[in-house]
Amino acid sequence: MLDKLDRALMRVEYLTAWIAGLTIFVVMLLVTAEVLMRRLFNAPIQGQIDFISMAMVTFSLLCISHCYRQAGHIRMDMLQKLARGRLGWVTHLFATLVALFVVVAILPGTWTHFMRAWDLGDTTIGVGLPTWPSKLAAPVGLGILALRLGLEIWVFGRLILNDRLAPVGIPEPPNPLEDMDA
Amino acid sequence: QEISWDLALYGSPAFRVAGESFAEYVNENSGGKMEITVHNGTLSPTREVLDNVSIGAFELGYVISSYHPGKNPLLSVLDLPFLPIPTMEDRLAVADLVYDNPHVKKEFAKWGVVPVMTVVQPNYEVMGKGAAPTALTSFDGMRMKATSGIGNALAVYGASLVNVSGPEQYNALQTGVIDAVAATPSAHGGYKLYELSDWYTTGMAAGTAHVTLVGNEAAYAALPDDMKALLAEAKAHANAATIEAQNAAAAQYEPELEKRGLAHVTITPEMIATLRKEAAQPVWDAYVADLEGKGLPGQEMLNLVLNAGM
Amino acid sequence: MDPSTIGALGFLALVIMVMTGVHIVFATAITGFLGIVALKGWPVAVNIAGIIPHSAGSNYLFSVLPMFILIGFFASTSGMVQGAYRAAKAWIGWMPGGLAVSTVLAAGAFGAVSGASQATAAVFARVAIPELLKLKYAPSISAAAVAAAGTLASLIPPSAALVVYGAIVDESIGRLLLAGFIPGVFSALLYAGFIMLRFAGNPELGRPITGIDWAERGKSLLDVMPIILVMLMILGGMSTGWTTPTEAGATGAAIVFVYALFRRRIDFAGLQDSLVETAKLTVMIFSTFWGVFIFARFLAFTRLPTEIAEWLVALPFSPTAILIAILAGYAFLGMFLSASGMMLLTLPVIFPAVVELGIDPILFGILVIKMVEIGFITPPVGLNVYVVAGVRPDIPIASIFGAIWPFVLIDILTVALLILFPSITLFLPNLVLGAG
Ligand code: NA
Ligand code: NA
Repeated sequence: MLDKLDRALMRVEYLTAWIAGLTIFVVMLLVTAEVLMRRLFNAPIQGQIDFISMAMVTFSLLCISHCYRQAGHIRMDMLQKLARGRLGWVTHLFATLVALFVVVAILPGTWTHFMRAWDLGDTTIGVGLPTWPSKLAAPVGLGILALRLGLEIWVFGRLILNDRLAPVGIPEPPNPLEDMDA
Repeated sequence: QEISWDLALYGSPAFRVAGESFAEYVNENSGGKMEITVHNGTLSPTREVLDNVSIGAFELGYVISSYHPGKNPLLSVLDLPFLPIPTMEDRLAVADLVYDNPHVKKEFAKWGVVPVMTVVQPNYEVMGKGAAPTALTSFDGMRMKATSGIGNALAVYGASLVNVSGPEQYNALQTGVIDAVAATPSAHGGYKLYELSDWYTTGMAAGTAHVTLVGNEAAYAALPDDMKALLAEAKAHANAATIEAQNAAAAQYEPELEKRGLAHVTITPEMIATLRKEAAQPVWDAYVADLEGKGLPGQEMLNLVLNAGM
Repeated sequence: MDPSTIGALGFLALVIMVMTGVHIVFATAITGFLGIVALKGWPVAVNIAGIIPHSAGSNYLFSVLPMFILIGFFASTSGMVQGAYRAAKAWIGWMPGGLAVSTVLAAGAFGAVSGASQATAAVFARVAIPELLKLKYAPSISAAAVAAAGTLASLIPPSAALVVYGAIVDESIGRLLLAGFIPGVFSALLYAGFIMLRFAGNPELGRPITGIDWAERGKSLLDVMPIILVMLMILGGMSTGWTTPTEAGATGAAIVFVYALFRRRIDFAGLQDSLVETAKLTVMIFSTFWGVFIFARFLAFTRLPTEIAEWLVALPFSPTAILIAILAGYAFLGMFLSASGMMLLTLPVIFPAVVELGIDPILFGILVIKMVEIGFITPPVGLNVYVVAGVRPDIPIASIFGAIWPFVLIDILTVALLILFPSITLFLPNLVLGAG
């Protein structure tokens, strides 16, 4: 059951990272096109900065849960590495509870920030793009992360109760030596 | 003291004078009843000040309406290019008319904020590299950083707009990403663009980015009457101090312009008249059409400003 | 409790959380959030903190970061960087610590393209560390060298931090950028010299490469051509006005992508992997930014940094002693603030005093940037070290901080030399722009 939920959530998280990656690629193409249009034809693409500013947020927030599951967020984990067994899982649980507290506490704030842009209006400085889609990325990304953190509390709570169970769903980085040496 | 407020400021020293002297006046004359703490650039990014005042993060802050026209479509009328508002004193008067308009009042109220005062700035001028423009056609092919309406207006004559951030301006001008920058004279000086430039304009009358010192509505309403009266006095004091500081900031860089031999391009009233007719009128019309399309009184706003009697 | 006390307590709480293994983004965010709750109440704190993730990510100047990360992925997929390292190995691999030395020098060269210290650290963590580990270089020293070498990007022009300084204190930006060049190169050479000494003293730290003949060296030069060409195109693009520094990242990534396509080294799956990994790294850096920004917002409300600045200026000592005290203050603030946040908070108070003390404003700018950069590699919040550790989760963050102290000491030595000999900094701007 836990394993199934973990994998289902991982699929959603990978999708958000894929969307984020696609946005980065589009930004690369758009900026290059802008430079060429400007220098070769003296016809800059209007709104390039507006789009990039808004797109940046989308990819920086949407896949925050994917990054969490891949253990991408930085931390000083000496304590976790020193403490073995149940005590070790307790330190993991503490870090997860802090994260869940932060995310649940500020989620309503990210939502009202989106709602202000949706209800009262907000556009970018250059060509007047609406900002609400990118503001929506914050509550969506953090919402997925809240689900993930809830699941992690189950993961660590279960291991504290019985540390002989198989450690399912623990955020662990992919092996960098295999992954990165192209 | 009984009342403690935070004020979010940012920008060049001359730009900050309005907020700083406003706070100073209140702090000195409230008899210890009220204290306004000035924060320079640390409480909010410029684009988010309106949201932050709205939620009560701090009570006062500078709002540049052109940074987010969608948040304040009616107030944006003051950002239109080449409005007949020649001096800073005129702008203060026109802005007060706009703030008093019932539709604009509603627009501020939606956000839960009140306009406290205008942070007045002189009209934009253009400074740039290369051959000085001798006619409006000289702007053809010129790569410019020109935000707000002045860019759209000069684009009619073939200027191409490159959106460069403030800190990138100097490098962009140096390497030729842009040829010219439209900004207030004190901003040209502040970013040291005269080090690289060959010419500058005066008399452009292009308009300026409109800036409002806004206050949190609930906090303002909760003030006792004597403090409300003190804030009104502080506003007059701060307006005078701002005009003086803006003039001094522009004058401070004048010797540099002369020493470095920058060509002085005077924009004639005839050129302004042509600009208004050929370039600004379409921008004004587009503004009105856009607002009317959304069911907002665009024409009424434009008429209000054009008929202000300047 | 007065706000400054709340600020000091907040800093203490942050240190404890970071030490117990709470992720940096959540440790900074919760401390900042609860601090704002103490000052402004829960509902206002929720709304303030709720705005920051979006506004931190929508800063156009930061968009250069993912682009430079992407250059790193594409460059390594296309085999371009590996080629450059083959050449570096062939030519200076025989020296003690030769490959680490070439990493530092290459990062310095890359700093002439990149204006952001974290982006440089991220790129070199990706491309250099695998090569260093293959030759059995000590992982912690390799990671520390990359984190420290990343800081060179903020001194060697272009530099976002120097432009921000110039704008705040109203000094010539051209003069500042020129002034950064020699101290930047100087720092790079000192780092390289230290690495050579360290490896000469302890050859166990990394194997030198022997038995490479001149024919192989000659052939390796061909491998290094693509990366030199790309560097020239990016640098040329910026110096001729084709691109802004921000755009140089995107166009550079596009050029390297096209090269990889041309060499048939990248397919759809490879592209997808590069993009997903870039997204992951970007969200990591940006999350850390907004966590730190929530904490910085809390500090701004307490006015603690401003009060520290005011206290430093009022000390009854000689100008040099006060300058050193001010710089020490920056090193302290740099432990937990971003570069521009730190400058915005303190310069308006400190700068007039600095001018009054008779300290050259251009020199002071370079010193401030150098202190900001030291802050990027010192615990508990050292963004460059975090970035490197984020790219290389196999290298413990504590071991990087453990290995980075010599680089911090070298930086302090550099600062001392810059104070003693102002002409190191002022020579180039005075030569090019005339005495100011
Ligand atoms: Na640089
Ligand atoms: Na630090």
